[in-house]
Amino acid sequence: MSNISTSGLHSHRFEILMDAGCGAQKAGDILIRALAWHGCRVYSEPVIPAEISPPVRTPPALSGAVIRIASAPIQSIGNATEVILAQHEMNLETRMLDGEYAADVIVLLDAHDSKRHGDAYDRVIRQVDAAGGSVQLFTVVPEAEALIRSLKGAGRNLYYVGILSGVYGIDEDHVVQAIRRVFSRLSAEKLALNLELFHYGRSHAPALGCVLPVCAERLESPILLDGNQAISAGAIDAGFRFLSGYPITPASSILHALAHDLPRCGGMVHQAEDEIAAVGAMLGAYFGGTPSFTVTSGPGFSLKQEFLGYAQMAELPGVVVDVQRAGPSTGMPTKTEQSDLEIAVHGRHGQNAAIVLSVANVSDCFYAPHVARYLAETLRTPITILSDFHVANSFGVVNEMRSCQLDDVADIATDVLERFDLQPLAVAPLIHPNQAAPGHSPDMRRITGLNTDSEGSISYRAETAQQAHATRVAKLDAVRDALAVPTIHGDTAAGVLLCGWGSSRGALYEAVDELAAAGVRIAGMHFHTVFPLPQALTSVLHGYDQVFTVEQAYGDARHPGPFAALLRQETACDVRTLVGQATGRPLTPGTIVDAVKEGAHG
Amino acid sequence: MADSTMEAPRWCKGCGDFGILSALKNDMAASGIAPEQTVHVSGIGCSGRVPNYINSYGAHTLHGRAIPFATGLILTRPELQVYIESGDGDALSIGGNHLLHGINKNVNCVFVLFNNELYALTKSQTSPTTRQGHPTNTQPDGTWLPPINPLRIVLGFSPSFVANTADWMSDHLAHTLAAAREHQGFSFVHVFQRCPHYDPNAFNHRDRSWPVFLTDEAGIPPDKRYKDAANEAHDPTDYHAAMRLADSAHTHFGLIYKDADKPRYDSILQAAASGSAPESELLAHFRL
Ligand SMILES: Cc1ncc(C[n+]2csc(CCOP(=O)(O)OP(=O)(O)O)c2C)c(N)n1
Ligand code: SF4
Ligand SMILES: [Mg+2]
Repeated sequence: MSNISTSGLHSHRFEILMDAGCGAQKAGDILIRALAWHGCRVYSEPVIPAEISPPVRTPPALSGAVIRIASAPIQSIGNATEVILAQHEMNLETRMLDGEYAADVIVLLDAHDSKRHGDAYDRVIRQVDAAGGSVQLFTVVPEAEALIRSLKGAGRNLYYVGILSGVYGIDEDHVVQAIRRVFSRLSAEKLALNLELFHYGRSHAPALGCVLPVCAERLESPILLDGNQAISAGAIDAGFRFLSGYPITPASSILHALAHDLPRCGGMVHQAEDEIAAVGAMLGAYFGGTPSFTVTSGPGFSLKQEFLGYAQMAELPGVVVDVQRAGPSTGMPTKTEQSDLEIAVHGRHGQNAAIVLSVANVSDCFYAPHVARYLAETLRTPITILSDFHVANSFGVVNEMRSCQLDDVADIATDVLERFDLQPLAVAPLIHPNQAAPGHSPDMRRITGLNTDSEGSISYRAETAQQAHATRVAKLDAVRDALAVPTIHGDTAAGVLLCGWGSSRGALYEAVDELAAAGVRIAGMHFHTVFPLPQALTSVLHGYDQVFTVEQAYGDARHPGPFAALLRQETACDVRTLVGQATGRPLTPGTIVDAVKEGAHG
Repeated sequence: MADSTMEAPRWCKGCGDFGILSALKNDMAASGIAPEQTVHVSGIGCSGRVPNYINSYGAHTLHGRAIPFATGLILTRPELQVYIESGDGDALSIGGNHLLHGINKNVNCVFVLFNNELYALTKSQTSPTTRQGHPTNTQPDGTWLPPINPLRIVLGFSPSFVANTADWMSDHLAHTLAAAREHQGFSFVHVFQRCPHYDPNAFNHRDRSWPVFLTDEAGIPPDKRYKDAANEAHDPTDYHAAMRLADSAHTHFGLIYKDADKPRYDSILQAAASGSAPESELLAHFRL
């Protein structure tokens, strides 16, 4: 088993696949921690079933963890899996349909079910062989199998952790430490049994060969968290004390985390009766002066639009986190996409484009709430943060973020703004000078969604209506003027530019590096702030021979993807979509590299 | 800011909203609570305009959505006195879901339902409370279905305070608002409101013998000006008696139901929000 090398980056990807409820996610969690302690850079993506506990040995039951380790920081899940450990042939067959494995993939397949499903095992093994890979069947040792039986089927995942940690030569102490950490709530007795199963698996490993782990320098103060955990912690650090929401995948885990943490910091989580109520309560709380936000995903984001338009009209701050999922309507709740860009920017009636930030990794997730609150309160307008299923659920090991404990938004650190290509805003225009919260001023503020003059009085006069529009647009300009064109990644003198936003950054940058290593002259540009766009962008884009987007939303040669359409609208540059992938799977560097190479030939 | 600088109401002559507006203003004055500690939150409709005409903080929100907005405000600013103004279309049609949950959550506010039995601001369409047979612009041959009964709906959600009153009974309306304000929880005040523009014959308001006033020591006193009206003793803590009143062919005015012990979502969340864990340790439990 070898490590792929892309332009000096050594990385390796493996995955563990089991039936839902058998502990594959926990196994992944243990392995990620142990690998990080060992000194690897780790990025991991869970394979999550859309239903709660589908029948075992059926395709919907597939649950697992895809883990990529590398010698340098990585922000993408990479291209192809090189080692798969699967509980049975059905898990393997289901996952292989995604077509994300290396040609010479090595599969470690538990033979437990082969007695009863021999034909199916044979068929799947032949499939792997035909594709150029190889399958090693293994049998859990009888002592361990007896233990698993006594635990009513539980603990098999720890045996697998034993095998994989042995195959990758991860220091045993690190794994035991990780098991203790992940199972900290387990009784001493249960923990001992799990550790025993781990040791059985570990002793089994030498019989299955070994892979050299890909090592890097250990991070100074590593932490492990996913995007939603980072947004939750970031929101508290940014000073938010009220969260309202209605459960929806993949945003719910923010509600869960903060239902626990916010009250401890003097705040509260309000589970509203629907998403309209959630955004309404958020605005009501902000009207009262409490920094507030709401979280949702596609269907809920649609429901919130009327109130977001109201907030612009009434000049109320607010922050919405939309953790995007795939497709229109209910779509694919546990799959990823970047297809809410248009609704975020233009989704309301009566002409009120909105400011939209996006996140590419867990560190961004931590700081996006700070920037959103800064913009919302400075401009008295609602701000949307676009995350997505992939960022929300992917684990990264990163250096611990600096806590800001933001109180007054004017004190926001410039390096936090710069992360989103922003500088502090110049004095912002307002429609109504009176922005007092109740109780604080005898100059009583009365808000309405009706058109008003600068005194806040209802006005249907021609010039006040025109003026109010101009002021809303001027707020966008305040952001536009504070934005820098994102730094070019790769060849600054290249004639071809690839643009992406949000979670596509890791794949975009890796693809550019790989192409550069292969002698292709190309540049990459990634946007954190997706609307408005920097004033200077127009001239920069026009300086290229060709500008393309790579996006996780539908687009093809004739139909620009949403981001390409936005860039065209804003710069009048002939931007085309090179990769417009709406498959529900995250972008990979390989997809982009292949598309560039194909484009060059075709 | 003096009342003289307030916007002048834009309602039609004789509109019942005037009576409710002045009752609300009087109640604010009677409460002794400073105007800047008071917030009026409304939906959309003729009734929704109230906050624009009252010298206090105000939020004229979206059609049907006053309750959610007010809920966020009440949860985070419990010391404020909040009144909500909502029409029958606003509260029982587009905002029906929010009303049910407002009653169930029982956050502390005075909720005033302006029931004129039609959609007024949009020029006379059938609302959930429009009487069967009454012609409107959307059901010109007469409203097809019988009206829904707001009291039955509200009582079905175990409210903590329910009262009936009318815009033209100024004395009774004043007592009702005061009782609603003093009650700690979601006080549902159902006000029959005249819309002379679209339904001049609605309600028997000129007949002073028609109303039946409920009497109880803990209740709301009958309107002094209605000397010929019948009085009926009613224990407002008796849920089944309240349900019978809701189903009765007569319209009863007064305190229909009160439950001072109903749990309040706002006080529960506020009590839980008392922690002050050090924010700098936020990421500690993610350390490897
Ligand atoms: C989302 C939305 N739908 C429709 C309307 C139009 N609209 C404004 S007021 C109203 C009905 C008002 O009736 P009601 O709530 O009974 O108030 P009233 O005018 O009778 O006081 C409607 C349908 C709106 N403003 N917003
Ligand atoms: S239409 Fe009816 S409710 Fe509206 S202001 Fe006129 S009288 Fe009042
Ligand atoms: Mg009405």
